[in-house]
Amino acid sequence: MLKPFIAGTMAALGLLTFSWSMRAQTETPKQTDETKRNWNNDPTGNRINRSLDAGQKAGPAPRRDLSGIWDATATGGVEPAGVAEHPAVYPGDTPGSEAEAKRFRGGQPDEKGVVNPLPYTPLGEAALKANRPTGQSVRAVPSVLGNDPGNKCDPLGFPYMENFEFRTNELVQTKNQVIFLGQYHHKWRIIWTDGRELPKDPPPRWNGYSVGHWQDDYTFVAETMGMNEKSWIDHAGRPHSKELRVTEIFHLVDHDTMEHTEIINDPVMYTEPWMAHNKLILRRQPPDFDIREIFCSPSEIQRYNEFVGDPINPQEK
Amino acid sequence: MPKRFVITAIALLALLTFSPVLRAQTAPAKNAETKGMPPWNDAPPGKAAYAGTVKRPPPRRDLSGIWNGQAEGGVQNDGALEHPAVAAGQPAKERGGQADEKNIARPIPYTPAGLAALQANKPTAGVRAVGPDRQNNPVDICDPVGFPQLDLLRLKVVEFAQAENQVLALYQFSDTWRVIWTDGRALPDAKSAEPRWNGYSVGRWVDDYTFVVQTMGVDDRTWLDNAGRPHTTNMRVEERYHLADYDTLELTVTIDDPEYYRQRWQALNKFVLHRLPDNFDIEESVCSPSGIANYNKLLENVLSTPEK
Repeated sequence: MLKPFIAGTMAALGLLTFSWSMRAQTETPKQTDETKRNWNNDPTGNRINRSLDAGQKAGPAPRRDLSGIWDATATGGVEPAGVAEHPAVYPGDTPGSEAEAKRFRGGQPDEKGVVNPLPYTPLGEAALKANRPTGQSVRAVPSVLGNDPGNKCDPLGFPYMENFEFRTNELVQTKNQVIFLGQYHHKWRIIWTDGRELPKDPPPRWNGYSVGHWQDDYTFVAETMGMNEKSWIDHAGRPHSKELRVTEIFHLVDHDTMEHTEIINDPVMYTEPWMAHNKLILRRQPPDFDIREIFCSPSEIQRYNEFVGDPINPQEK
Repeated sequence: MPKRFVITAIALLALLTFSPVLRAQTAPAKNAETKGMPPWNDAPPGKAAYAGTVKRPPPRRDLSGIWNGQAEGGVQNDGALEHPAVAAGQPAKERGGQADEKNIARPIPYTPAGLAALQANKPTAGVRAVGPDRQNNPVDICDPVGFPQLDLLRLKVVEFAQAENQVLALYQFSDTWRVIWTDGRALPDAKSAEPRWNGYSVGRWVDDYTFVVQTMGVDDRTWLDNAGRPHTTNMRVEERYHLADYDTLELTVTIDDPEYYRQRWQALNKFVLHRLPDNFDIEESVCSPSGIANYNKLLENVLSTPEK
């Protein structure tokens, strides 16, 4: 009886694990029309996405300017089974399919059978197995057994901040920086554009050290290194070492569309570089778009676990 | 002897509980390789290295820049700088254990409800300090710092960037950011706005060098400062940023929360932030629950070692 119960609760937990960070979104009182327009208080949160009106033709992209508010929620930026290019799911895994049902049983020790496997080194494979993700990958475990640092409000770090809940984010340009303001966990990072070189053997940071340059008028390339290895790469528990280098390519297709490509290069954990995002679409939001707060709060998680997580335990006795 | 050991240990624990947050700041900077290049991972230079070195008027209607509050007391361990929870001349080692803030040098005008809320908050600093085993500061478990505590706890380095309709603040402490809208929008209806950790902020230039921000709708789970000053969700906060000269930004923060305070009070009064070089790399200062757990475990092991 115990096993089916755990399996049954896993799907629920997998979904509800997200809830703590979205608590405030479910307690929204009625809004006036004016408030709705100016402040993003709608209970559906990020689903307010005004630039996605059908039939709207975008103008040309601005030259060498990423500034703006960009949404990936509606275009695959929420990645509960791992990065968009390598989700840890089975082939044919679509809603309602047998593969999806199997995935939701999770608990697989490795990524055998997944649709687009990653080229792990033996060390990488061992590191992967030490990470126990929740979420919706084939290796997902119930939240009480998981060890995702992000689930207990450790910093997501880079590139995890862009590989799990890559929601609505703002980019700001100064004369020597591109500033990334992330919605999920509400953190910022800076990509220096003043020509400085990346540091050599710096003290590790959760977000690493980033520099960027314009390759052409519409393509900005950022290089990041020096990440704290306590963070994961994605919500499927993909590991990285301190040797990780990440290349990001931000390409402005038109005024309203940006493509985000992310390449992981970590020879300690992977036998070759691989793409986490391949032209993942970001849609421009209106400049007055109010990005909703999503913070991680340990006290909220604790409360959530008291009400939802812990009731599992009496059943197991 | 054992008693004294416990007290010492508590003081040590109180200090080290903050340490994971500060760890990266104390790690040695490695700039040797970047000599001649813009620096990475530096602590702010001494004030004399930059404050007042550029003689020119401040830019008009522009807060953009990287500003250092650390040199002028931005790390406010005993509570908001204008009202630290300490008695005049009271040494740090003699603080703590008081039930209220009686006898502090600059008292705050609490209402009875405000005083009750204060007493429910158990800080590890000031005249009301308790031991780490009894404290309940949400920041110590890595809950969001929230506004205005972002200004009133560890106001270290902050970067301001301006978009056409926003002023954006990037805070070093806890690596978080907030938006101040400048497009003329009204604040949301107080009855309908869901509380946010940072609230809702709008700002306007009252003259070429003075930017005034109004904030409301702040989640009442946050404290105002490290001394545990409370607030309700009906609090309004005014921030007044004044560019005194090119290198100097003055910040005044006024708290208005009639349920908890009989009158408005100033938490910061012309607090000075100095402009840092534009290429200054703000060091990471993030809160990590696992880092805190590791420290606490380490201390537990130290404390449980039998005395010889």
